[in-house]
Amino acid sequence: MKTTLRIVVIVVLIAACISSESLSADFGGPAGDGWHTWRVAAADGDELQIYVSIELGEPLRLRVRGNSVCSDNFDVEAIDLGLVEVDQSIGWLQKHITPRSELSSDVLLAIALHPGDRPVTVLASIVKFGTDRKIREEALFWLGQSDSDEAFAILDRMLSAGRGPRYPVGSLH
Amino acid sequence: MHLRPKTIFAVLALLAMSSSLAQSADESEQLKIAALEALMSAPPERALPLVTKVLNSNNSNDVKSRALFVLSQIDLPEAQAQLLDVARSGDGELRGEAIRMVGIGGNAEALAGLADLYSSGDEDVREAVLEAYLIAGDTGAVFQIAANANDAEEFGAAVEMLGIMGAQDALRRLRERSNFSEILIEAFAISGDAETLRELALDGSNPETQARAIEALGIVGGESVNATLVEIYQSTDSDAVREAALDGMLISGHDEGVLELYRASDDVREKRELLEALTVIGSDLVLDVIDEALVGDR
Repeated sequence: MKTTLRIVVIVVLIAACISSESLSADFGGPAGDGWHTWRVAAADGDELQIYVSIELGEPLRLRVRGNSVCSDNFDVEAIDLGLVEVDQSIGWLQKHITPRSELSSDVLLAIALHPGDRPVTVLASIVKFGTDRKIREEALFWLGQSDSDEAFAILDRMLSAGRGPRYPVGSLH
Repeated sequence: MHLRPKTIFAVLALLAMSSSLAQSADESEQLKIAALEALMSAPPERALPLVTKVLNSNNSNDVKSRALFVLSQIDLPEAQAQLLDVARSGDGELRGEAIRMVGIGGNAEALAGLADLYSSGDEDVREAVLEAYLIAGDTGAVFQIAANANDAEEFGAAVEMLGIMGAQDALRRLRERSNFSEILIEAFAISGDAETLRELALDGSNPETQARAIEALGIVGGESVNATLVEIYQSTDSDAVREAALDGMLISGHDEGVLELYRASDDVREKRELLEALTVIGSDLVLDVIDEALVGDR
């Protein structure tokens, strides 16, 4: 009986491993030159496929594929990093927003397409504490595209801020 | 005058601070504008209260103007009503901007609301309303203004706008029902109505009108018009009409036609005039004429 139970448990575990791909626990982002790609849950309920090109150890280009974003002509051979957690994906992406480069806009877009509260938190923090105006403006744009109460509260506070010589960063808290 | 280092330092610090403050103010404005632009693709119910707040705030006119633009893009009756409110009662600059934004928004009801504003408004308001109609492509509304104009100036402004809008049918209707005026000929030309101008150009009942129509054909230009201008030049007995046709060719830059007339002419004075016209056009065909003259001398 015990043997039968053991066999059943083993079979169930094997079946579980085959049917569902486990999330990468130790996602450190792409390493080594070339194109890398990973999948992550998307805000629209589907999945995003994020591609990053690394050259000399630095990310230079980023492309996103998903239901809400169109990149029809994009097709490269890439090292597949599998399915990763939203926090892991955003965690890696947010390290590459600044200093401003051609990558920054694509990174902000990619972050905005992730599900949950985390994108708004990251974008809000850029608006509040960022020092690069262009990046702050883009973060504001993406906040406006979210349907989050927090995002609109931030836009509200920013637009209601008095006419003064300095936009009071602290007033947004 | 001797300044102490401390004083110089203080002045420099003040200058640096004021420049930094100006830059910050500029940055704050630009961020607000970015926030407003972000609202353009946001859900209208969420965007409208924020835009309303900006319009009721003490923000600069630059920020408020952008808010008006965002308002024009919000597809809610409340948004259009609010735009009309600013158009009716806003301060000078914002008022004109709100009127133009009604044109950009293109909402039929809001556009209809501009008619009353036009009737009761001053010159600036009227100009802004015409611009709004131009932006919205509302030729019917501009036609009504022209048809009901109280004076030549008002009529001229509306007719000019119809010309810019390319509203040939509306202009033809005005020709039939109003006293003919020079401004209509210009408007026909601006709208590219070669057909009506050709008709006027061939009608010798009013030499002045005929001459203006011939010149205006030059503004329209094109192969067919150029051929008409040459034909008019060749077939008329009137010096004034011939002169108008040559002016038309000058305006359209029809150097080949002028050269054709030059070669066909036996009159030295006329040849000189046509050669001058070729020079004014800046045509390389002048060189052909010179070559021909040199060959003839040999």
